[in-house]
Amino acid sequence: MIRIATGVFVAGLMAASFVLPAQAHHSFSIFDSSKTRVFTGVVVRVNPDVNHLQIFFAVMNEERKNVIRDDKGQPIIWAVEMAGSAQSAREGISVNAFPPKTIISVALHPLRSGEPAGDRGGTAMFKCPANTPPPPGKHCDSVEGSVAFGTGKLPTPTT
Amino acid sequence: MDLTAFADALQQSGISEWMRASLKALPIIEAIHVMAVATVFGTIFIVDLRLLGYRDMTRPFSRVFGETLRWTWAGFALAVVTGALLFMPNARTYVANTAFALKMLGLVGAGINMAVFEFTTLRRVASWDSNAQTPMGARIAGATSILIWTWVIVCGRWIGFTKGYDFTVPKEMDLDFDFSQGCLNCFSDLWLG
Amino acid sequence: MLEFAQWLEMTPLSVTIKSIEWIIPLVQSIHILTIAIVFVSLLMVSLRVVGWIRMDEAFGVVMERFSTWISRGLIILAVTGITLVLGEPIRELMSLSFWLKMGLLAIGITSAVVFKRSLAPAVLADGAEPTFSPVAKSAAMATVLLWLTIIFLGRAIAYDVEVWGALSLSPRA
Repeated sequence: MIRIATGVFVAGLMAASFVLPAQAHHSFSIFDSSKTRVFTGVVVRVNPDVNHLQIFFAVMNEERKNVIRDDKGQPIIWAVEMAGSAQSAREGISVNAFPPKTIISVALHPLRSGEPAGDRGGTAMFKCPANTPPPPGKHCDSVEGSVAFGTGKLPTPTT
Repeated sequence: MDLTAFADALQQSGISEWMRASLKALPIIEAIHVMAVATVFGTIFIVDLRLLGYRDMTRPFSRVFGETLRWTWAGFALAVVTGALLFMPNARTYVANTAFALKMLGLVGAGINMAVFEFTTLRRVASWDSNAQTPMGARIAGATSILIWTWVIVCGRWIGFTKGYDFTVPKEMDLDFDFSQGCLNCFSDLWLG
Repeated sequence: MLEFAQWLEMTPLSVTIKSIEWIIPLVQSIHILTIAIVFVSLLMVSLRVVGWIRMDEAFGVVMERFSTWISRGLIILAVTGITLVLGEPIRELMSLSFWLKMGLLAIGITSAVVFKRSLAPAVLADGAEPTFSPVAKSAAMATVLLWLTIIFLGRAIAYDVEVWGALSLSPRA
């Protein structure tokens, strides 16, 4: 019994080690790396912060027809941050590459504080072709002609 | 000019562009900033301990002060230059950051504390220079200095953890689009229609 | 090392350190305040060796004044440093700057201990003035540079890819 429990524990740790994000460069304590959320949204602004480039986006609904709005009719804005502006530019991520209204799909590790922002870690981010949202429930990676930033697939969200 | 406009101007300057484009500029300048800050705090700490009457009591205050002062100023000058370089490319974020404001407040406080000490207790230094027992004004200045500089360093470290996010949507941004026309693969600008 | 860091990352202690928001910034602040005291103490001893400051004071007194701050400071640095490694093992251990810093730290501490032991008992006890050769004086100033480099590398840990490029140990590289 103990051996099985240990086995499960070790397997859990190993599984956990695979989903751990590649670390970007600041203190990761503010983000909960055990959680992953995946969004498809519409870029509203890119802040080319030297330490961590941030992309602000309005979250799209599951049907991918409109942006989600809260009770007061305001769009739900999330921020995803990543490596600094110089490093991001080398990955093709810049203010010009993500003009307002660009549709993106991105995975992030949310802030522990509960604010609507998170860190991309080293995972892939996808940009839909212009004005082409993904089919309902899908993300940009499923749209033909989408552009990938970073390697690999869009991670699966944790529940 | 209001603060935001000033911050924007700094942020769009050539130096800021250079900081943003360079991979190594930020880490190197930040590391030099820490080296400079360490020199400032470490040297001031020696003077403060003498003011408090804890260390170097066998030596005249003016000598302890004089020997470390040039290192303090050298470190401080370097910290200001590197600090300004770190500030410029992210100016908008920093002016909105509470920890940053508290750090600047600390620096102003340190300046006031130093000025008050110089114009009062330090004027009469001849009367207590070699005394192990320092006057009350000196002890207050020393304790205040340690507290303020600790505050400055702690706030400085806190900036990185509280830089925060500006979630405001630009005014010109129109999010009232609707893809329900079934136009999933057309490249015309739907938002203009 | 990556497996070890990943394992450490999931240990309850590590999770606790990073889950409580103020722990890491506070410990980092204490680490910086302490390195400031340790570095400047070493700077003062080195400047005394070179003969720029505190020449009115016996060398043994200067050593006594600063060496306790250095040794106690190093203990605080070790405790806060280990806490930071436990809190963010991947960021720290998977960084070339971290290991270079540890290497220089070993050299720095060894040289400080060797220096103190090399002083004649009379220097520490009776206020005798030691004579330092030009080589010793250069070595004293070299240790100042060594400790500045240690501080530099400490800050550079967070930017391993940016600073070291392909040499970086970070999984991001």
